[in-house]
Amino acid sequence: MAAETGTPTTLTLKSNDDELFSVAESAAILSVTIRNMVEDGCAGGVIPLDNVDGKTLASVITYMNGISAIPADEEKKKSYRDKFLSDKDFETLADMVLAANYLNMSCLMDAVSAKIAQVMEKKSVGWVRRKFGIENDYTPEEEAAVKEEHKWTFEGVETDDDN
Amino acid sequence: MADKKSNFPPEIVEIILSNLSVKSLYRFKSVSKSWNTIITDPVFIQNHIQKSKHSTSHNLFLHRAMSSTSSIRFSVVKFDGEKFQTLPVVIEAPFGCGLVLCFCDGILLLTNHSYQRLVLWNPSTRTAEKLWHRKGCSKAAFGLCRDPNTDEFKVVVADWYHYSVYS
Repeated sequence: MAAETGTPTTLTLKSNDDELFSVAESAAILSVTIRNMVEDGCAGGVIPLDNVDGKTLASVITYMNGISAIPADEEKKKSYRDKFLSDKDFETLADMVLAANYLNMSCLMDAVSAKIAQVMEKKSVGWVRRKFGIENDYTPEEEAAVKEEHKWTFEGVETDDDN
Repeated sequence: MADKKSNFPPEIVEIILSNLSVKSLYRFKSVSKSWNTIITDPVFIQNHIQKSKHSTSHNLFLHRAMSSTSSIRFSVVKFDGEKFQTLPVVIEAPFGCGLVLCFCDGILLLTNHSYQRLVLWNPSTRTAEKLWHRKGCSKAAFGLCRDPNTDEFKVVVADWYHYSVYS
């Protein structure tokens, strides 16, 4: 992987709130963004990750270490991912999906987006707007019309748990 | 960190939404105009169909339910690899047509007992469309496929004397 000999096998990553993390290169290159930096020889010093905060980066590194310790067994990797994400709340998952996108980690991206969808599955329209920070740009008449068209999809929706 | 959430780029929203069930997608069309645009985009819909086809986690079947009333209903049955489990969902057959002739990509071709009426039905979206058909044909063969070029469904009805193709 490394073009030069003597490239350290441990990388130092820096979050956007200036936290430093050491991580094995073999685990860190799960991120295509980091792998490209390593291959281009720009990973000698500290790698700044401007779009990821320390809390999220710590979590991503836990994932990198955990998943790279599992040998090539897709079943075991999947159950590790399920367990890793099982106790995360929406806000954490949202930060992680943005980090996974920025770090270009497709396996984490797929797992987190599937998990977010699973959380959303029985939620109300209002819950989704609040969590995603979306402004309702429908007029009341338009909104009523869209809802009326798909009335049955509002059956079985949970009561909001966020207020 | 509360404001950060509004910075979901559209491509990430699209990836997240592609994991949702059709029911939730139709509900979330009312979230905003831009979500409605994503969800009704033909490419998004095609990707969603392909993803569902290749997913092994939700094998759902329709089961014609017996009912004492005149309406014909289907219940949804899930196969989890070992056993069948009936889900608490009941869907009423459209236009009284409860006989399944054939299916393709989640679309069913239905008819009624007299074979006088043909209906294309998508149970995932609960939408149905009546087809014009000139006469009852209980001995005919029926086929349904999707034209990948136009994305339209074609119905073929063939009996002893003639065949017809409907788009």
